[in-house]
Amino acid sequence: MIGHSHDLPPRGNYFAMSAYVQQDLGAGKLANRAGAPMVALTDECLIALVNTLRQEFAEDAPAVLKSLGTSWGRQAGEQLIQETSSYYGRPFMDLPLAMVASLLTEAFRHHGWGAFKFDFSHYAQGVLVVEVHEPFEGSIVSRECGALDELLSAFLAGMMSRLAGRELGCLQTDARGMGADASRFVITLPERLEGWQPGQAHTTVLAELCHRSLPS
Amino acid sequence: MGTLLQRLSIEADGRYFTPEERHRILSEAESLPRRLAAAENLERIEEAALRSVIEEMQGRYPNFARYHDQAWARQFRDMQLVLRAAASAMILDDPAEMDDRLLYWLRTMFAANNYTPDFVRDCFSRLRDVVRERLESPSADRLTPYLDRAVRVLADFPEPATAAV
Repeated sequence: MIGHSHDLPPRGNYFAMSAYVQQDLGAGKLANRAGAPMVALTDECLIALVNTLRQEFAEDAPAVLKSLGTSWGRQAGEQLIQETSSYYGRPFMDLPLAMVASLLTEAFRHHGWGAFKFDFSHYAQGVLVVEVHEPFEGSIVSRECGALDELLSAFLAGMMSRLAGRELGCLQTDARGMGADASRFVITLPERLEGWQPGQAHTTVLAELCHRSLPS
Repeated sequence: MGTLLQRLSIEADGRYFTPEERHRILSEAESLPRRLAAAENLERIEEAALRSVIEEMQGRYPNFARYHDQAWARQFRDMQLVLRAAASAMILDDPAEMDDRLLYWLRTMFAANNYTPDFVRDCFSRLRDVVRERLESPSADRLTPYLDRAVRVLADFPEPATAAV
């Protein structure tokens, strides 16, 4: 049986560039296809932001960056849920996992954040792996801001927490700024990441997390 | 990326179109009715072509439906999207338009679903061939490069660790 495809909306990539960004040049405004305002910022802004936070907050800077990234990620997650649910005509949580992976990949790619790969193959063990080629921090501002993609790590934690509907943490295990071929992140429950430090071997962290049983 | 008119307009910034550019635009305009007709012909045979390919693939991949919810209905939908994107890109005379509008997005889903490149290549090359068989040659000839591109782009991903086809 072929079955029916009536409940499968014939919709393509929501983030396709020709449809996603709308310009109102008369008013000097950018918006996405859902009407959400957009502002194009250069990487100099990011460098200045991160450097200023580091200078002003010194040893507290990592916590401030984490808070900033998490809050930003949560809002981006909320926007993703609302816009894609409306476009595809069904609740975000009902979308197939493969489609979620594809939407996330396209969302980051079309906002200039890098080439992302979301690996849900450890989903049963409660672990999501994200691999990023050309991450915006590690590739562009690493020299000024340090080797890790701290803002991105916090952003992913915030976004995935919103999408999953529960608090999640994110640990960076590989960094382009430290010479790895890609930046890699492991996302899971925050308590499962306790004791791990950023930059520990990706395969070791992943194997250990997948080996340990999920807390009830 | 971008239609011929868009590209020529950008190139002609601050000047009039050259005679050669005007000739290219006229040629493009003259072929538009034939491109629209090809899309209309494709729309007419879409349902039958898709059902034919799905039935053939069901015989070739009997385990596919065991791995995925609504497996063949989804495959039907995905192939339908590709045909429609190919028709749109053909009308615009812009093959790369398919990549961003559909193909990259679809390919990421195929990889995440643990499809194999061979499975995807089989499905979409068979789709191209069935469309060729069912359309008269002018329409088929216009669409084939776009369906060739779909096969090439969609099957270009690494083998999964555990195949689910």
